Amino acid sequence: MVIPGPFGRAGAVASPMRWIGVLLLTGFLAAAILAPVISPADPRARFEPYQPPSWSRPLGTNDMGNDLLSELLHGSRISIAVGFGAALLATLLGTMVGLVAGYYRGWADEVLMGLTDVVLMIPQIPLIITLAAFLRPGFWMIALLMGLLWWPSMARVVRSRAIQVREMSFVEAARCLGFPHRHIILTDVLPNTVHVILPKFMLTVASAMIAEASISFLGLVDPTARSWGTTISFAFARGGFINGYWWWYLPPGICITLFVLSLVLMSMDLEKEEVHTGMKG
Amino acid sequence: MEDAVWRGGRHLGRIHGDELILAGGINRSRVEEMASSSSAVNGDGERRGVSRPGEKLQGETLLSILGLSVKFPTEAGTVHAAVDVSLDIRREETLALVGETGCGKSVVAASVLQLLPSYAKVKGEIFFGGRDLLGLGEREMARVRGREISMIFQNPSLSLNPVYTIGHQVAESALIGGRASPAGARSMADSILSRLGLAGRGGMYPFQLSGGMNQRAMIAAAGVAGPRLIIADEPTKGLDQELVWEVCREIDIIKDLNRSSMLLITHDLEVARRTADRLAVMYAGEVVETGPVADVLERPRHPYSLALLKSLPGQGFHPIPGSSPSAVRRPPGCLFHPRCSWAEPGCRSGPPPLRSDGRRWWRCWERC
Amino acid sequence: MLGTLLRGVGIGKAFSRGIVRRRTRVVLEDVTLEIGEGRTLGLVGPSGSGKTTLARIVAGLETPTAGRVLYRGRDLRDLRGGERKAFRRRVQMIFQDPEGSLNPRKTIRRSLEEVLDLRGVRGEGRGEVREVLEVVGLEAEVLDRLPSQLSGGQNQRIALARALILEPEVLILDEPTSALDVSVQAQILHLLRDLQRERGIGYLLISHHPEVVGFLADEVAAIRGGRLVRLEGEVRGDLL
Repeated sequence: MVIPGPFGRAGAVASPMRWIGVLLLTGFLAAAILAPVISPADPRARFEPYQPPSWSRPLGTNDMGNDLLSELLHGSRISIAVGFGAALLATLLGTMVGLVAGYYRGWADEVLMGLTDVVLMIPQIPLIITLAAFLRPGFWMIALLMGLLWWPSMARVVRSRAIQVREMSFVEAARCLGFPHRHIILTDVLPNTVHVILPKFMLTVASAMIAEASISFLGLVDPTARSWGTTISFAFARGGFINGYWWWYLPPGICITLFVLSLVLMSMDLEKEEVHTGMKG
Repeated sequence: MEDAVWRGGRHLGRIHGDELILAGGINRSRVEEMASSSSAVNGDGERRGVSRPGEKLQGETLLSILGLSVKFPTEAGTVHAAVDVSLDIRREETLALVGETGCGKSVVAASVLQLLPSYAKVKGEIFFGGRDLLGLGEREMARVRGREISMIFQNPSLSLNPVYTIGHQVAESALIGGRASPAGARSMADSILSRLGLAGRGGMYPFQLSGGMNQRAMIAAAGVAGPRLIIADEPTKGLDQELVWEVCREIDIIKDLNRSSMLLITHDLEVARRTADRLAVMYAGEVVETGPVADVLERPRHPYSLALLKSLPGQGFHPIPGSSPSAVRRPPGCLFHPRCSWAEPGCRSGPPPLRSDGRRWWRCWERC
Repeated sequence: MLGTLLRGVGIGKAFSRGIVRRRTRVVLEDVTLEIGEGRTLGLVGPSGSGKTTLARIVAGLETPTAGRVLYRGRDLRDLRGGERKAFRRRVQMIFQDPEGSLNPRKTIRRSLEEVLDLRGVRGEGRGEVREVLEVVGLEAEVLDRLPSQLSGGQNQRIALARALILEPEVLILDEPTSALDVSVQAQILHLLRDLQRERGIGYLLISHHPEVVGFLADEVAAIRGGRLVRLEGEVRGDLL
């Protein structure tokens, strides 16, 4: 049913899902940024090891006596940075490739999609594990690696959307008026692809965090830096699981879960909004 | 049981037992004057009793929309899509609701079947078969749709399911309408498709057929279950002239089949002239004029109807100055006065009064 | 006789499908037409007859499979660089769906200003945006709106305004009023006529509605079976 009239965007309905996601995400980001300020102690300071939670040590201590709450807070910086870093790189690369391939079509599309297919064929986790095992890279290397492996899926998605948008009348009208391709891609095609990029970006952050946690858990990273995954890894290796020291391995696990949840909630909501304000083909 | 008392474009009140309870803003003495001069005069000047549900008289009212108001909250402000709209359709009658895009006619049609988005704020009543449709829950509404009231949409290619044959979709309508068994439905579908010139094409898919044929399939689906009322929402929009006449013919066929009434939404006055018995003109969410179609088109009483007619190709393409009021900011007084060639300062003072000559109703200050 | 701006000579367009069994559909065949300064050539015919394809070919948005399009006597295919840009600027097209021809996420102001940028106008030249709005009969308050907030008639005027900023010599109007209400149609047609009288723009007007064409056109032609058939004076009434 076509409801006519100059309605613009019909009354924005505040979605509870989105707000939960935003709240959680903001909370985590704030904690990460303020970690040095709000940590009860220096994560490297040693206290009595293997202590359960207490008033002074809210999350207890690990095998080396480090305050786990501080470790958690500082660890959030690494996990979140890696997650966003990898996703950012993948998004930048993927968007560029997708836009060029989708807008120009022809041989540019063929070549770029061929490249995309090749990269997609690479078995990602095994490669990361192998490289990590040999190189013992720092976290930034991990982020770089993930970004370089994950851009194709973003490229695919952006390309489909670009192809859709480029068929729309206003792109043709712009061509007719004589706008150069670059202008059209940046001001006409790209803004109309953002709604597709954003959810995918968030999900990529989520994937990156989980991947990082997995690699860290396997102990394949630089052990001096502590991310959430590394904490769990040490909990496992140093008797935390066996002895039931839940305050050691549960909090990081819960943090990862909640962070990923917040991203997923926000991205689901974004997709719904796009359908709602959907454009006429 | 309360009976609504209505007059063409205006809800006057309700009869409760022996008493007449007036709706807000109605002048009692005026009503009494009308009542005494012609007991219960309807919109066409015929004497009849006030419509009661269940009465099976010839010319009885089938659908009665009373004081319908629809608002949408938006970022730009509240959009008044329909304001105090009152219309009635009788048995076997076709009412054409005409107006420009954005005047609210599609919203009125959607309201009848409760097809508005959930954030719409709806007030008023729509009586059909003795019940207020706006008060029905979703389940009961689902039983009304397709069975008693069906709808023909604008763009047939988008309204038909591409993965089912047209025969299947028409038969599905018959099945849901509860009028036939699965086998019976299929033969009903075939028969109605033949009537509309699509004999033997029941096994084809929408993509195999032209736009015109798909429109016929949709018309068939709307009519096969024998609904008492068919709502056609701009069935000829964007079609070539020849197709427009074909669609008119098909609509006539489907109406005759079941002696259904029809609410025809269109901005094409020629189509209205050809297929409708009565005409209601809407402007900026309000009904500004109603009456028998030939009368309104030949001797329009409201300045907007007149201007609309003059802007037709056949009449010389005389443009109406200005543009429709913003749905959010409405002019004071008569909504049309900023563009009316006969406007006087007094036209701003308030909503114009309803006038009638017995057969027709229109709202104008008539200060010119 | 005033100058000829745009000419199509022997234009043909065929679409082929299939690899193993190649089927060719000929949409246009040997079409020759002229658009002159300040004059309107009307093109009628039912949907699907190839009018839009012809319009796009003449506008340089599609290449014909046969024949040539000449702008100021030069074949489009021979135009390079600056000449190509000049052609692109002086020959504009107005599309059938007014809202569709505007980017739904750009405000009207932005949509108009970017065309000014294209012409290289900056700074105080921005005032021209208001001027052109006046020319097409719109108030400045539409500047901060989005296309979805405006009516079809208003959006079509914006589309016209965008084209006018480039000071076109030729406007190709592909069913400019078919998606509009009847009363708005009258307004747009009057606007087009006034513009042509003032500025001497040549129009190629395509419509399936004979009266619309009759209102503006100096000459009328129809596409029948892919070929162009000129229609004389009174015969116009019997167009379809």
